Amino acid sequence: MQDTHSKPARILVVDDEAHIVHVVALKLRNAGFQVETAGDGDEALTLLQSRGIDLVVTDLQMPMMSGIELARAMSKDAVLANIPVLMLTARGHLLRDGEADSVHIARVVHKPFSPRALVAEIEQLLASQRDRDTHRRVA
Amino acid sequence: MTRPRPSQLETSNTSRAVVVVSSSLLAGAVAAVIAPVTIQQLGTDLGIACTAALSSAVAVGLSRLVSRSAPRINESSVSLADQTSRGVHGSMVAHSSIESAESVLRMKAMELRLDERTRLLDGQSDAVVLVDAHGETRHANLAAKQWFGERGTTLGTSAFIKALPEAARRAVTGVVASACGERRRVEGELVPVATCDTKDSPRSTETKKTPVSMHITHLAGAAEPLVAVVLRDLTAEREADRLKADFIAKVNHELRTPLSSLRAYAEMLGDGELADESERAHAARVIIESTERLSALVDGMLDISAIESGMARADFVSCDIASLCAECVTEQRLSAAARRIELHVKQRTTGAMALADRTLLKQVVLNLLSNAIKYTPESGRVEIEVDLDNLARSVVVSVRDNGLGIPIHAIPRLFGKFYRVAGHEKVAKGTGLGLNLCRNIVEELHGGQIGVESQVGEGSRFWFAIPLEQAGRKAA
Repeated sequence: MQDTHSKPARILVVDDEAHIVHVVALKLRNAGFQVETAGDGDEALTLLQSRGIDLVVTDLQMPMMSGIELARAMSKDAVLANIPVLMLTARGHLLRDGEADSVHIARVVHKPFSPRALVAEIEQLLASQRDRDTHRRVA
Repeated sequence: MTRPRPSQLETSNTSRAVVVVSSSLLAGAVAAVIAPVTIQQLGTDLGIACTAALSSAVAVGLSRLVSRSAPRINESSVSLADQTSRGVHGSMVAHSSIESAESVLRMKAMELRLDERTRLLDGQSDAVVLVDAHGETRHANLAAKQWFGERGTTLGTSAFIKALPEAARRAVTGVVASACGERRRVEGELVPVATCDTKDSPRSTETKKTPVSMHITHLAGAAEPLVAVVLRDLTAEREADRLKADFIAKVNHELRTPLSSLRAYAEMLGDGELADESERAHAARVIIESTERLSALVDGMLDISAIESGMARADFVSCDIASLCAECVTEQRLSAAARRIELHVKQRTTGAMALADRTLLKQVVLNLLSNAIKYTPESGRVEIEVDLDNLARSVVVSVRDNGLGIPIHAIPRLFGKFYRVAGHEKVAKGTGLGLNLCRNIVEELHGGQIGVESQVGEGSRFWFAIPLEQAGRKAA
């Protein structure tokens, strides 16, 4: 669960499937996160510029802008490049060698996924991110 | 030492020519005899080609001998005739002359057969090259010359072997040293000679390599070790593999998306996380919708697969197309009314009859109508029209709407599998298989045609045409 003493993390959920966006957002809100939603990559980039997002959960296969293209666009922006990206993909869809690293995809979760397991992955990622930020400040 | 007279020299050359030609004929005959063996060994149409390569390798030597010896034979016949006229062993000379003429005829017949085999080889799209134990080229067909150029296929040189990738070179050496009938298959990449370096245009690092397979076979029955190298361009096969992988990836995605919804909502219901009554009702709706979507996907894929594999059987009956369309309109009235869309029937003809599978054709009309209703904004207009094309002797059904329209770049892919126009998936749900199924039903099963004309923001006209029922041509 979210650390109740700190400000809840803000998570952006991106998927062209409205049902997936709805159920993931519901689960994350129940887990204490603040949630923003987007139906495509363009909308996601607009929200990322203005909403102080801490983590992005995005589908890989989306029309117009894929999850990889969204992550690539983020990695080119000095501020957005530090936001961890969790990618939802169909199992068996392999990312090309080095593709995940080159665009800073922190985790890959296969569909169909367990919302419970998804929340656990997100909490781990945010904890690692907090550790990195602390080290950076100390350094 | 007395120098032989010209006539004696010619006679002696003729004898030698006939002897040498006879051994070539024998080699040709050997090649012809081993042909069926080689065909069985290779088990492909290229088996024939390889056998022909062996024969034509003999033909190279033979035809040279024939072209060299034939004039001499003729000349010697003349000089022999001279001798006959001088009364020297008249009857013996006449006998030799007949034998020589027969030899020429036999050689010409053999030459013709070998020429046919060379043509057979040259007609193959695969490159076929015959290599001897020294790695020297003994024969190269036309395709091989196109791949490796005249220089790379020069007979009696090892230029061809040197042009092969290392793995293929090693395989050829291994097969030459192995027993007759030994075969190996190697895959690699080659740069066709047309794009290779020449003095004027050095090899570019950007040169596109072509994927190839090489079947290397030690030919049985030859007097000396001979290896056939059959090289096939795999570009088309690789493209087919890519399309197949792409299709599987799309199926994977399309199936897993509703599965994800099912899995997520079921887990949350089980965990008691949907406390709110309206959230539980929403979850139930999503679960039902997801199962329906999965079911529609599986049905669509099965229907398309049955048609594409030729397993689907259409039950052709005499159909009144206008009445079939009217039935479909009646079935769609409720969904049109729900979106306040005017649904019209514009009938230009009556009694247009076609031999059709009523259920399948109705599926096409319903699909086109339902798409038109889905992608037309509320209070829009959808119209169906049945018309005759007297010139083409067909009945044309058109479904017009004043909806979103389709961008021109999307039209060529619209009837493909799992294609959704960008942005349309936000407007309405779909499997991405409906139009592909329509095309299969109209074109594959009914011998008709399907198409679309559209303009973004103004609307679309989807149409299909199927042949009119001919007088005297009734359903079985």
